[in-house]
Amino acid sequence: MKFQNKMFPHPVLDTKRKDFSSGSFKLNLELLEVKENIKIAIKFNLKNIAIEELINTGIAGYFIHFESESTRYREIILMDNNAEKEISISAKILGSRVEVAGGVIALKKINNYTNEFFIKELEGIPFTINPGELLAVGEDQELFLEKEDSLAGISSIFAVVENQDESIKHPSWISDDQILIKLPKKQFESYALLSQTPNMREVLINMFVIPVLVDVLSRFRKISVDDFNEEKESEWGRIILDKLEELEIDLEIEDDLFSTAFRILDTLEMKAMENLQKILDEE
Amino acid sequence: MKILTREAFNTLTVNRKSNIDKYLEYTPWLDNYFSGIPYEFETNLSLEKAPLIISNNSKDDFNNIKIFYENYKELSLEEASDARLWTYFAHKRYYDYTFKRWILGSSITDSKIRERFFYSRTGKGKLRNALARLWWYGKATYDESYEDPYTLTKILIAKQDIAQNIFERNFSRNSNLTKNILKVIYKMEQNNETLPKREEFRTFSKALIRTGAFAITDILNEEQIENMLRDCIK
Repeated sequence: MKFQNKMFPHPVLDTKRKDFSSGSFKLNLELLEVKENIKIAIKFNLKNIAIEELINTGIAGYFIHFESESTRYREIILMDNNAEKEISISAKILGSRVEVAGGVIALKKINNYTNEFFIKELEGIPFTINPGELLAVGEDQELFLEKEDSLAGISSIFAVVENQDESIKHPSWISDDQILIKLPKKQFESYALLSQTPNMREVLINMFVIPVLVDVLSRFRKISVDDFNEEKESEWGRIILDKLEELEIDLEIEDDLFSTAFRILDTLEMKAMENLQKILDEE
Repeated sequence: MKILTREAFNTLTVNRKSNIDKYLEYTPWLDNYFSGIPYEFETNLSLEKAPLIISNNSKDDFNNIKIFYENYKELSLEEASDARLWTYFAHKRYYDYTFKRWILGSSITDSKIRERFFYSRTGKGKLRNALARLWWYGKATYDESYEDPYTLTKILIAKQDIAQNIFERNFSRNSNLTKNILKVIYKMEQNNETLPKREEFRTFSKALIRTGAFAITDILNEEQIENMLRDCIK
């Protein structure tokens, strides 16, 4: 669940909103351990006297919210007046992507809520806040957990598969975990045979990966924010999008997708070139 | 217990459309299809096959959820999110059930094959696979605070429109919230009250989403849910 883009009928303290003239609210998240349990340190930093008072009197409280779509896990943890907490969650209930949001929530009904740091336009306006409504919200965050079975590296997010019906001409197919590159029967048989040669598999994969990666990048360039978030749910989408971020590549202004594909591959997988060299050296 | 290899899963996924006629076969066809190529592997889970009622009658869904969830209760959420497991179950371990429940006697379409035989972790896909839906419905409703832990499952299945309305919404991922909704309906039923009609429940569902736009619905208790639901009943 994402909170920061929501429209609230009352003022909410957060870094993006302009409801307050001063004060701040921050959520710091630190992933301490990813083993059988995921350990996360949570720390809220609140600077607003009125909200602090509401927390100290039990009318409001800190909360942290976890959501993992792939495992249908969603839970809110109320932290009352504890601004810091270490939380441990079993890794078996989380997928590799977890959305985390946190803030201050009203635990009791608040009549005539005002705050001396409301912006001028809101000064003196009393608001009614019901239990469950937000008073402050931290930056929405995402945790990406490297699971044992999780796919890492470019060669594992692409797979080459036999296309048994050549009348269906889709060059690639996308599943939750991988981008599947379809080859006609004969080509696939050659691929299967050659890929048994030591060091050859990476070389072959990269032969097919580049054009498909260009296609995927051009698709990313066209998608909306919602679609973008959906792509992040998939293993392959997350890895490619993370690499783009790491390389500070903005697809909207990047003209040369072909070079971009090579840059992504270079950083993810240099094995192909090394292996090609080994094959040539052996001959 | 076995599941599909990654390669076999990919092959079935990519060639789904061209394999459509195979899904008309009365018996599992993976052995012939992969003809000697290993397509399954043994996991570290040792779970017996659940004795499902092989039927195309939706009235058997409740008992099948009970049988299936009881058998696979120990699957973790992470394991239950593996597409290779559900795809294997539908294509091999429970092909007879999947075929009878969703294929026999009805028209075959690519979307039906995709939904019932395959599994997607995103969106509504996880509740469409023939077997995954039994498990996820069981998981979301199983409640040991009742003498019969499947009390809420019965409520859910008796009102399929409610099931769909709840489970296709993001709020249903919070199991406490889902259970609180079902507990209210159960209580109404026990008191011989008129249960919310399809449209009324849809209104309630929308009200919950509206509330979720500016508040956190996860903390709503049974009483608050009851008030919201009653407000939507004419």
